[in-house]
Amino acid sequence: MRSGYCYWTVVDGEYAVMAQTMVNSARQVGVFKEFHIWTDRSIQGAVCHETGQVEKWGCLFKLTFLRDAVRQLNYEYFVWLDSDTYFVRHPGNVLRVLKGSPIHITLESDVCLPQSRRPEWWSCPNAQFAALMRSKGVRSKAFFNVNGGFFIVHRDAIETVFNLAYDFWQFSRGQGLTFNDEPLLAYAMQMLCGNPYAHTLRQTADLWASDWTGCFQDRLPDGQAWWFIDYFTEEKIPVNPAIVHAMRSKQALLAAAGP
Amino acid sequence: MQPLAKPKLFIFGWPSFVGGADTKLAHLLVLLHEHCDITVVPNEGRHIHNKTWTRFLEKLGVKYGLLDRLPAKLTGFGLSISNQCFFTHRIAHRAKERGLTIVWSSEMMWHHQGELEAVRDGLIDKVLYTSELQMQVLSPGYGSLPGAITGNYIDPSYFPFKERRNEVFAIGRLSRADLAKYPEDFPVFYESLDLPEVRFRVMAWDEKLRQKYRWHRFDSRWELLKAEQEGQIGFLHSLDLFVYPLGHNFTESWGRSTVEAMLTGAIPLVPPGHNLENLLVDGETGFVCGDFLEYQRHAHALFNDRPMREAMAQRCHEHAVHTLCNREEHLMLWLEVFQ
Repeated sequence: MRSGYCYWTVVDGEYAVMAQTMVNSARQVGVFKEFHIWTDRSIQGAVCHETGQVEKWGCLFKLTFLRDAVRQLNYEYFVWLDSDTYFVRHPGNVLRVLKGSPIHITLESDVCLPQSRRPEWWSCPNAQFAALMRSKGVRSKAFFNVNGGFFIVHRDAIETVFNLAYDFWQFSRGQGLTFNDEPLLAYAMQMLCGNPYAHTLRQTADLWASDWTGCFQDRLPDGQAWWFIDYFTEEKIPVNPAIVHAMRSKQALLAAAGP
Repeated sequence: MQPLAKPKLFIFGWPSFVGGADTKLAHLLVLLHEHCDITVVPNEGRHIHNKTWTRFLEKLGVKYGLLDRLPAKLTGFGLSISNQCFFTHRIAHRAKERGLTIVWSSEMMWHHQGELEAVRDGLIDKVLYTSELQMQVLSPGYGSLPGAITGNYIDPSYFPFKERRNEVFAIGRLSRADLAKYPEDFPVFYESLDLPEVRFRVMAWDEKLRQKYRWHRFDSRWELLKAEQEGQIGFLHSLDLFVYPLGHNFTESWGRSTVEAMLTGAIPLVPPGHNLENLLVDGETGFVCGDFLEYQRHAHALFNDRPMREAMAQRCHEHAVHTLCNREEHLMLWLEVFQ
């Protein structure tokens, strides 16, 4: 097995066009790691795989692709990126954020903080989400939400991650909640990471963060610092990650791919 | 005054120093041998050729023999502790037919195969629990059967205290190699404590655990020992802290290994939600940690403050000897069972 990691994603249609911009941005800043992309069209600079039919509901395909297809690749770690991602500088070794954990997904906010301004996450009341996590074995006082745009998994932990996520999905469904990928990844992460507080956005925002409020609305990230707004408390946190989940820059990402 | 006759007790199982239930039996024999007329009945004939344990029994004046060699009619109590074969091999049925009053202790947080059928068929006369927590979980299955909490006796003389002078600070654990007993993040949990200089020592590691954590690179800080690779006492003496996070689908009904560790002076750091929190006085004889940061804070405090660590280790021992393993109290509880 090759040590090290590759990036991967699954795209079609406009998302494949954005993936081209993502790969281009990585190459422009000197990232020459392989991108394995399951796609309906060719993406230059990436290793492309036939995507086939993808059930997109809830982005659960991330987990099934990880288990069924990605695991066949010859790497120790796999780094998922949503296609609306943009590299503003070389991130260095992205595995540094693992800190010994077999999985990393950035833990954004403790959903139970008293200063939270949102009552729920993915239609699940915050207290209920915490109770679900606690019932299924998360042993911390904080219960974090995540954004599913970036995560790293060790090849030998894929089965465990998948099983934990599926178990949590089933358990939550039994309580009347049908979760998408994010609560499932949040659960698997907090079961596997050892010290969740070492994986928070504040600890890792030099690598990746999600511009979910649109600091770069309709334009490409430019490498300047920006404000990350905590999803629950609305606290402003200064960040300048090498990899930006430019989820409000889709038109710019499409345009940057060229004709 | 005429002395009371000793209760006649037939114990179905075989002692051992591996595994919680068999170890419990060994210590129970030490506790009860002067007060009960005991016959140990192993599941299989091979056990009575094991000289280590036959000598142990003979030294205590405890008889042993196979059920088929015992008289067709017996009086007294038939006790079995977490012995799966007691039901699956119909030993309970045969013991009952011979006239014994059957006393059963699951020891686990679940019912054994055939156990509830035996309850339904009226084979069991009394059930024993290790803790309130276990009773809450199991008692609904037992219906109106009389029960008693007898806890878990450990003879302190088997686990002598030792003042720690380990060259390198060590944390670790000793438990049977059961995947369910280990949390999903076990190795990274230990490493994330970020102790400045540390050894991680685990005994009763096996291939299944190696497979479970194959994603982890165990570096030179780790010593993963097979079951009985070292003597139990020597192993526990090598630990400064007994750090015992557990798997999310497992609940500890009592926590024998934690008390054994305490007796030797290893300080326990344990999770809430198990009987473990009833075994220690939080902050005095170890710590109940509800969050990773609590484990980390207490581990660092104990690493950095040797006088505090020594005092707490001594208190762990004292608490285990005088409160958890108080011989007279345990004896009284057990003799009440056989009234």
